[in-house]
Amino acid sequence: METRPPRSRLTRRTFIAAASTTGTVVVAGAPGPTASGEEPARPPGPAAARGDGTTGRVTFTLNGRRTSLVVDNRTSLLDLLRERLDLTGTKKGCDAGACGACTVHVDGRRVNACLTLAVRLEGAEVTTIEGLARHGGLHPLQRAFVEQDALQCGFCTPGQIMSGVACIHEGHARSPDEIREWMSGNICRCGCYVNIVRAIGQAARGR
Amino acid sequence: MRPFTYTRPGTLAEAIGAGRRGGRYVAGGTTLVDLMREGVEHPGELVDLSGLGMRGVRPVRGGGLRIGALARMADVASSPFVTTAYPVVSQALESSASAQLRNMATIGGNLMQRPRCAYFRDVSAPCNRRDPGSGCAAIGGENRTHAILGASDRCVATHPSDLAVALLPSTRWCTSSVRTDGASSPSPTSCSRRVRTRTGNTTSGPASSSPPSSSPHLAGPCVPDTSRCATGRASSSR
Amino acid sequence: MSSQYPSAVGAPRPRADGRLKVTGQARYAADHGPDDGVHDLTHAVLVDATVGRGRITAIDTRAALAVPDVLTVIHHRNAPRLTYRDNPFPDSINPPGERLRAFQDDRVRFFGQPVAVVVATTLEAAQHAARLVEVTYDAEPPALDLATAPVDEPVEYSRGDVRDALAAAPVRLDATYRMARNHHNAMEPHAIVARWDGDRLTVWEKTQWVTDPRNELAAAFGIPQGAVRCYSRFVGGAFGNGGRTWVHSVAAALAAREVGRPVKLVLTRRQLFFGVGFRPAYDYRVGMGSDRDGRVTALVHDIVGETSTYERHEDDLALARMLYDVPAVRQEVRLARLNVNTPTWMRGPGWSTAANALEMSLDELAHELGLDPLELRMRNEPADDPSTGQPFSTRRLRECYAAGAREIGWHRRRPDGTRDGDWLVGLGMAAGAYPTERAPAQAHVRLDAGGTAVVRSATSDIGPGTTTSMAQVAADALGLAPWAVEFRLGDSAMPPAPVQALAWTMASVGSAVQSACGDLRRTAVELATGDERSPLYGEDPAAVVVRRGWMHPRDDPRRGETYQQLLTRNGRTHLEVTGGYEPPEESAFSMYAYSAIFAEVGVDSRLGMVRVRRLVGVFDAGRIVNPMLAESQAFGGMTGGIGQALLERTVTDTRDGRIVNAGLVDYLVPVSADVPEIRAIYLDGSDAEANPIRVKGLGEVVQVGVAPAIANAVFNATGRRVRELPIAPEHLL
Repeated sequence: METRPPRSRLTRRTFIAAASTTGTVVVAGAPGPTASGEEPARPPGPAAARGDGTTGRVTFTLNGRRTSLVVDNRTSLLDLLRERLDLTGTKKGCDAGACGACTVHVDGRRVNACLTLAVRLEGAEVTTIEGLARHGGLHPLQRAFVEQDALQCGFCTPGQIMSGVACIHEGHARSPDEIREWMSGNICRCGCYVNIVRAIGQAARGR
Repeated sequence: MRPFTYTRPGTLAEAIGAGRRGGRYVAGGTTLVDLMREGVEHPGELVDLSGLGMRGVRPVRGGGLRIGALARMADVASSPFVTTAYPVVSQALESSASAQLRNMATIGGNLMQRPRCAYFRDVSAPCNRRDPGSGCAAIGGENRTHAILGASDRCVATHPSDLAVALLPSTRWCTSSVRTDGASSPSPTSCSRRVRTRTGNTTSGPASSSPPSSSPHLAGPCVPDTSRCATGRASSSR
Repeated sequence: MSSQYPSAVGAPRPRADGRLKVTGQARYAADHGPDDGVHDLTHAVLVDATVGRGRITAIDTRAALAVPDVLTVIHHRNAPRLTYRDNPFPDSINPPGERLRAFQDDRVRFFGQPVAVVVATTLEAAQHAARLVEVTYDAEPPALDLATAPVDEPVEYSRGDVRDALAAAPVRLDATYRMARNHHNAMEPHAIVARWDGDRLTVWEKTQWVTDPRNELAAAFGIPQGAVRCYSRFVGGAFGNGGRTWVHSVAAALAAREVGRPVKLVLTRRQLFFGVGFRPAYDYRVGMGSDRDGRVTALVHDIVGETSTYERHEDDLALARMLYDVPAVRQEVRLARLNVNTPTWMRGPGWSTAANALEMSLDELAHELGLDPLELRMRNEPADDPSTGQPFSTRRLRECYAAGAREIGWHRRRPDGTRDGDWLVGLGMAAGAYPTERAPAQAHVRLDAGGTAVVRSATSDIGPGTTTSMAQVAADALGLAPWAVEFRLGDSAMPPAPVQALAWTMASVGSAVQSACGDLRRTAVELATGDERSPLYGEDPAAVVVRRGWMHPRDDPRRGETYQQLLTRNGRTHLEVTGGYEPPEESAFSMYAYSAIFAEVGVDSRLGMVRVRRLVGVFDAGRIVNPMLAESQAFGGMTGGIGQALLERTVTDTRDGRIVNAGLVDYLVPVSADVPEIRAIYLDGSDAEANPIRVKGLGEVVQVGVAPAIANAVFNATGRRVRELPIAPEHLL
């Protein structure tokens, strides 16, 4: 376990975003999530309290931290991140898998968090925009997005970046045309595509 | 979404048992979760097939390929067996949906997916396929992307799978559906050695509760929908 | 007083908030929670009408209320009567009419109208319960067809004798252009978090104008404007429909008051098609007369557009009157009263609509005359504004044409297009304009003894980079490095600013920022020149300039002192100034920004699929504050134009008013694969008449003329004149 300098204002948001090494997250104050193997200290959220089998415990790795919590079976990974874990960097644009704003990595692959039921994530490794870069730095693609002005309103940006990182990793960023094709699951309504393609090209070339 | 219980069987037998008691199978979930959110599907039990394997893509002795029903679209598209011998399959898959969805959706689910007709997906509209006997709102409504040929007077939706379109004209194919009665029967009837797709009957659920046309749908004529696909990439088709 | 050297303005600075946005730390309306003092948050989900017109006869909420975690269901039968004070322009941008109210009567005015709201402690429960609310209607046939719906009295414009001019014209053209309804579809869905503290309401709202929710919510609940605080620091795009405050915001605030807990309401993508406005569809008939040399002598515009039954949204279609030197023009605009929710502004509002029709018709005329479309436009270029008789402040459209033609290689254009394998290739162009608007604005600046400044104004940043560009303006006016200035926005308690729309933010807020910061700089300089201990003591303040925080005589950069030294020595923690900008009532000039768009398209000869191969936009937009951000804006507007030309079309089922493609699967917006390399060129220049910043506005004009340039290129490629937007494959098969 590595030591980190104490933070002056450790909120739930910053706590989770800052968490970087292994170990189980106990989400303070959030109804529901508890340390693995412990019974909930208090009712784990109104939905999760139901004893009719419509809730379930799931343990997975989130941004490098083992996380165990009881979820409503209906809860999407997206809603879990946003509404319970306060990881609001992952955005809800359509809730139907059509816009890509909710793109995260599950077991190293880019997926739509809105169509991923949280209860199905047992044992999975999940990375969100908050976990992309460590130690407060920027991932090369994050830096490229700023340098190329590959964003305007910024709402689709976390999804674009998560998708772009995977696109590069998959080997689908060898030409602008290939990037255009393989990034077409991420809508940018501000119309930053020209710069997004440049940013991904820049990061893919390792510059 | 209505509350539901969730199971993840580790064996085929358990999965079949869960389906027999009314559970709805989920593989990639990209169609089913969306439809549950829209209120079109409302299972009481979700049976997660992801623990069953069936993800392989491998050549069959004597020619042809065997593709596991739970193989992801992305994995099939990039499999060297597919890209070399069946590039049309690879291309059809890669022109479908988005990279994210192809990482999630399975081949079985892709072939067995429900219609993308707007009225099917809107529970406030009549739809024979969703609610048999209620009527077809697409006939006389907005049906620009629907069937011109081969439709019936009850439904004019086309099959949404790009893969299915690629398979139909150029290859003969076979699905082995795992039925809730436990029998593994080829369906539909045309079966060949060229490309075999083994599906887990992932999104059409128990045969008894499905609209009759939901799974043999592929056997019928299928009009390619050239104008759009799941992520709005209409004009990106090459 | 001394004029400062511009150093920050004009520089391509990256976004000040870029890091927050790329790390997911930028917080949009729906992202607010405990860290913002929002505790015990509940979730609200709207129930929408499933008929296009009629009355609600029954609402059964029993099943919904039986869902665990559901707190309440509010509808017109149990909702408290709300005050709904009148709240017209300019306190709001509500259009004339009677606005839609939250659950105050049984009338259904359009399909998808909110008829109830469910509140629960979890989102899942609220969503589920909303599906269980059973509403029974007495449905009536809705009015949905532009051609048959009742229309308002026309708005007319006329100059010259159109009838005579048409009769005398040797070449005549009569064509009707149909433009589909477009939905904004910003990536961020409309969302609001509402919290009551006694009689005070705080909202985190997606809006282009924090003042509007404040005033509209105050009006709805009958409380003073000062009792409402609206925050909106980050906005995930809006393109016009975040201007006014829609009924769902009142519903959310009402829900929060009823349950006594904060409420979050996020519209679904589907609900965005029914509840937050759209660019209206138009049937736009153009009659044109011309001589054989291509001098247009008469223009008739008969226009029918959409509005709702309860409000009158009117787009400004004045482009048709000013773009060309036509002596006789008649324009009649009729608005059809449809059972739809009220349309609203959408990028390049009105001006892009008029440009679509006018610029396609001009292309038709050029073809008819056998003239180069570019040459035809040159021949009709006016010396003064033909609609007002006033001189233009600046109008450099000819230069735009020349630069664009050079960049796209216009000389390669053949009257019948060219061919590239199976692809038919064509070039097309179009012009556009958008008025340079200005509005009163205020800004507050505080210079701290540490040598950094914070500037605040109640404007928004929906994407253009206002936070960054305003800091640049402030930096130059203060004589500070841009990194030493922070610009804050998005809080209704800040000094007032106009809605971020109409491309007037830099002209208005920028001018206020420059004014306030200039005043502060002069205050500091006068403090120094009057201070015996200052090296600047006794200097003429007008001869002192400030650079990087160092005050010095213009002709002696080495003698001087810093703001820090001055303030510290005088025991001042800070200096602060509130300044403003008040545009003149009248101007002797006609002021517009201009666009010249050139497109190269390929049309698949077998499938009718259109691909934009190249797109060039040249803009006369005055001074460019940040070329990097300006280029991005142009890319965005031009990408939007690709959508208008080829993809975007809201489809209504005319039997009941249901929008059948209400989602991003079926309502197509451009994706990366649809967008080629785009070239955006801004003419180097400035407009001294326009405003103190000398900008002409660029956020709107960048989309005007794009769609018709593409449509004209499709004609050049195929010889098929499609008078409908968007152009679809079936038009070309």
